[in-house]
Amino acid sequence: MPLDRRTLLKRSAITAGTVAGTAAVAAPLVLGGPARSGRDYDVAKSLLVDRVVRTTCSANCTGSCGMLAFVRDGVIVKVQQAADYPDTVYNPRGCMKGLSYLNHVYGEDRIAKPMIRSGERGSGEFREVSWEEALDRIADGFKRIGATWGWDSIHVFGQVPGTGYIQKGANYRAAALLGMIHGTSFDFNGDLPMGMPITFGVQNAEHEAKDWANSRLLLLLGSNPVETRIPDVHFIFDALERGARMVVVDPVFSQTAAKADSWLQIAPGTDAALGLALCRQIVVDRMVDADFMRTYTDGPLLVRTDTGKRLREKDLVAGGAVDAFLAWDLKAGRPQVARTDLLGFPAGVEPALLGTYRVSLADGSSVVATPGYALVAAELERWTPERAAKITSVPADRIVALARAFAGTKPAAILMGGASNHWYHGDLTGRVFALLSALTGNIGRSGGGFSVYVGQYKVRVDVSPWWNAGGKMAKICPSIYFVRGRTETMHPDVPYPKQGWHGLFCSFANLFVQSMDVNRLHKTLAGLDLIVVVDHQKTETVKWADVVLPATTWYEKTDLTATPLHPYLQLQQPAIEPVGEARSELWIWRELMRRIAPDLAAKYFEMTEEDAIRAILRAGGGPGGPTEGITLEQLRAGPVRLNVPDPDIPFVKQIKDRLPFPPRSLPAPLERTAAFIQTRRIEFYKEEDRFIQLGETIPTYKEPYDDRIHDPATYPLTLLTPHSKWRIHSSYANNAWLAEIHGGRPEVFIHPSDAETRGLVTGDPIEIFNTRGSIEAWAHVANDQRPGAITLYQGWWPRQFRKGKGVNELTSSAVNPIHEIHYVGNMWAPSTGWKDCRCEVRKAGKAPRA
Amino acid sequence: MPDHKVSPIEALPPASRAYGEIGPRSDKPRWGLVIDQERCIGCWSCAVICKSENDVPLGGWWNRILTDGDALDQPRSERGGLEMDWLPLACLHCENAPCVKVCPVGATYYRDDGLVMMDNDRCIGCRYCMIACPYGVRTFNWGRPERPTPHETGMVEARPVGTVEKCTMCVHRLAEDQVPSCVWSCPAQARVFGDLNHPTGRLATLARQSKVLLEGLGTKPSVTYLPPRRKREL
Repeated sequence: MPLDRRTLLKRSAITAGTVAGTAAVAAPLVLGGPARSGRDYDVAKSLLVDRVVRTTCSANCTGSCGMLAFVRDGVIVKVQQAADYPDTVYNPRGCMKGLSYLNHVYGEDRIAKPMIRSGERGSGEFREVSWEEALDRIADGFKRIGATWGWDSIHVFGQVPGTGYIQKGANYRAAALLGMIHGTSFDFNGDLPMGMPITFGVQNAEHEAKDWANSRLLLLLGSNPVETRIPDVHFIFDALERGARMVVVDPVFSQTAAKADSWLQIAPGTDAALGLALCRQIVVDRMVDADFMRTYTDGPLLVRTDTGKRLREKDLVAGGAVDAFLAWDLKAGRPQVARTDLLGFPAGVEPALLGTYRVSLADGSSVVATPGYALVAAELERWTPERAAKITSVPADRIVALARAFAGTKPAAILMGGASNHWYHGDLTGRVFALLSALTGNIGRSGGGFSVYVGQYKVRVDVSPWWNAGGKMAKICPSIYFVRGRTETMHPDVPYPKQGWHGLFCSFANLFVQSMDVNRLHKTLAGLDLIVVVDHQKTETVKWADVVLPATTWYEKTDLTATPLHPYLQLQQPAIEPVGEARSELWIWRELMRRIAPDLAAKYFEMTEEDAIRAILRAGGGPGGPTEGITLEQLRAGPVRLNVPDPDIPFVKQIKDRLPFPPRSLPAPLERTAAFIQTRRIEFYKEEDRFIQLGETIPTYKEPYDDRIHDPATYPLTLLTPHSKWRIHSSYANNAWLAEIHGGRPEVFIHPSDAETRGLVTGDPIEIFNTRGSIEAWAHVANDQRPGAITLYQGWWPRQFRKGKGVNELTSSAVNPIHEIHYVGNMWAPSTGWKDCRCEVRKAGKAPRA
Repeated sequence: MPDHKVSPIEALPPASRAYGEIGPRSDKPRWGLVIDQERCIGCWSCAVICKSENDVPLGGWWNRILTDGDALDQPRSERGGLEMDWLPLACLHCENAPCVKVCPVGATYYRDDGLVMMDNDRCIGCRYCMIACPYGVRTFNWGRPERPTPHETGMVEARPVGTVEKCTMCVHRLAEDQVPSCVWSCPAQARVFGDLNHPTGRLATLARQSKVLLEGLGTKPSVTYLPPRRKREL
């Protein structure tokens, strides 16, 4: 241990400096207190409580952590992890944020009563009103909007469903009944890894966290589990203790990089270039799992060199099938149909992966065709380690070393995070690393796989009996089109309102802080007739509302939750009476429906949370269904593992039984997502027109998009806005306990070289700006940064910045037309590029804090 | 309000209670804690639950996580690269505790199980102990406690104002065979609690491999550290 006493005390002062400072100014010394009988601490026991209630902490963090609420005299006096998972490796599960939730159940920002705006919009001036008045106001307002512009002009926005299927489902159900348009979250948050639907035909699919422990090599790509997967990161340490190695690819020396065996400090947004060089090296080293590529991927399927489209049976014979694809059988010397109902090829067929073949067509002409893999391999040839090194700044010898380690270690897992996905071309990065995983045969294998962890998006159960009403499902429009209006390339199936947006119902979301390109969003807001916000904290979004409704926390209501990170279904159960006049979303919508459409309310909303949960359990409870054998009574006692394989890893059936891709992505019907990959195989070649037009038929690398908007000469810095360990997005930003630790004000971390050229030192007020906006925070000169990039952790509230403007004034709302080729909300939809953002900084003036 | 109140330990669901049990110990336990610095992720969960469990008011922390680096969660330059570790630090419950020696009124004392305790009714607020402690883990409660909640929280009574406070190793929990709350709540499973006198127990085994903080001072702490592992480059 290198520390001496002086250093130790100095570091104590650094980390808790603010704490000591606060204490020193406190009240004068008062001695005394009630007399006690000497050393009774020897026999002390815990103070008694009324009860202990098991619930689930489920912010939008993917944790979904079982918590116990300790209640004394009707108030919660402690929350602590339940640590009751039958699979005990998951215990205790839960982090410092969840443990400090008392700050939000009772803190000064808690909303206890309905409010109606009394000043200008955004002034934050409200008067407290009765529920009656608030509900009448909303019902009247929505009815007027419905009559004037159509119900579809009301946008219902709420964050990811996995955090609570019942209360979020109430929004979907109401939207389905009234014809309001429900927004999206997974794509809107930029978390939808578009590489997954493009390649595998699924929304996303990841290994449950405990499977990390089975890996021999963990390649973390822009993934920072030490900060953002706190309940799960110990599985990585389990793997390391068993001798695995961890490689972290990140522009910043992240807290996960501090734990890694190897850290590759990559240039932001260039991950795909690294991945391509890794794949090329594996090809050069002849380490490719060719059998995997032939059996499970579109590698052997022939592509016409004249049109760039796949060769189909109908091309060869009149009346042939449109959806029958062909491979070149080397043995027979002719094309062979590849089945779409069973992967692989019949014995005796030897499908070619390389070469070009002349094929005779039905009309008597002929065409040259080549296997998809040959096209991929041709692209890879261009990606020498030296070329990738120039783009990524990762040295060529380290790229080669990583490729050899990855190919030579089985199983090897790729964990991709938001930092790599949150780019305009994040889909290409996903496709490239999916290719790396496939080339090495790691797909569908415990300890391996290509997993993207970001967002608690996953619908693990059949929610249709609750979310849908009378068989009708809510229409869903990507919320990016709410923020910026429609694009020219928007898919025709997107239900964009004919008369534009005129109302907003926002619940469980801090939209006006956590939307990209906030200044553009405010233009939409200006045209809205009514803004309703449901929340339990006085957020910036609340400030812009016309009507505010006080929501319950998960210590005050009943809900059902799940997450991608572990396969346990859990309840949220009320530990206390709602604080003030807070009410659940289900209660709110029942009351609104009674006012708007009493007949529909009577038919579809006169039910309890328990009724809804039972209906969901029943719907998925058939043989082999996800909730088979699971009862509400079991869930009341604790977590219940869904009926999924153990460990829960994707594509096992496809790999073991050679069943066609994709598995179903709930709640969409299978045929909707199967349309993404017509070959029913893992697709590395895409033939849709727009892929061809944009030169993205095969996984490749493209420069960050914002470089085209902001000239790097004028805006030389990339603005990285990662998730912070102190917050879940903007939740917990107002947590008094945590603020004592981290200091409570937004800092911009900047490399010493960038700070020096701009004359900045730690603590300086700093302006960050680009063409979209300008904000002010404080500089922190830090050697963990990369020259040319700065880090401002996302989620701070505008009121915490100098001048009261938050970071998302700077971020981009650009839409990638590739994401508009198909449309299934939250599954193939515009995924946003938060990190694809250039800026410049300078020392700010001495303006007073807003 | 129900009149009938119960121990929060007895009220635990069975699986939770089993999770927190201390496990095998000797006839005459001496409690110890080993903290694995490789597993520690600097998340402060142990510190936050400590604050909650013990109703430590705003401004006070019995347990803190030091960064072995340039600032909070910032690495240090070392061996031509960057490195960073965390060091969770609360009362180390020394066998040879400087704080006990300097207390003029005997308010700081040893329990039979080796834990160093504070008797806040005896404490006169002179703070000699805070100066004597080489680890800087004692805090002083200056005024009326301020909390983010309108009510008292946690599982122990508030201490008299104007006295010194520190980690008690959650003796109120040990009394009901439950590990300290920081051990329960560590999501990285970096904290192992147990009986140093139980020779074959996990704790004693780990303690033998662990390092002592400021060993040269001869304080003989009951809390020791497993240092970070060596990294293996590509």
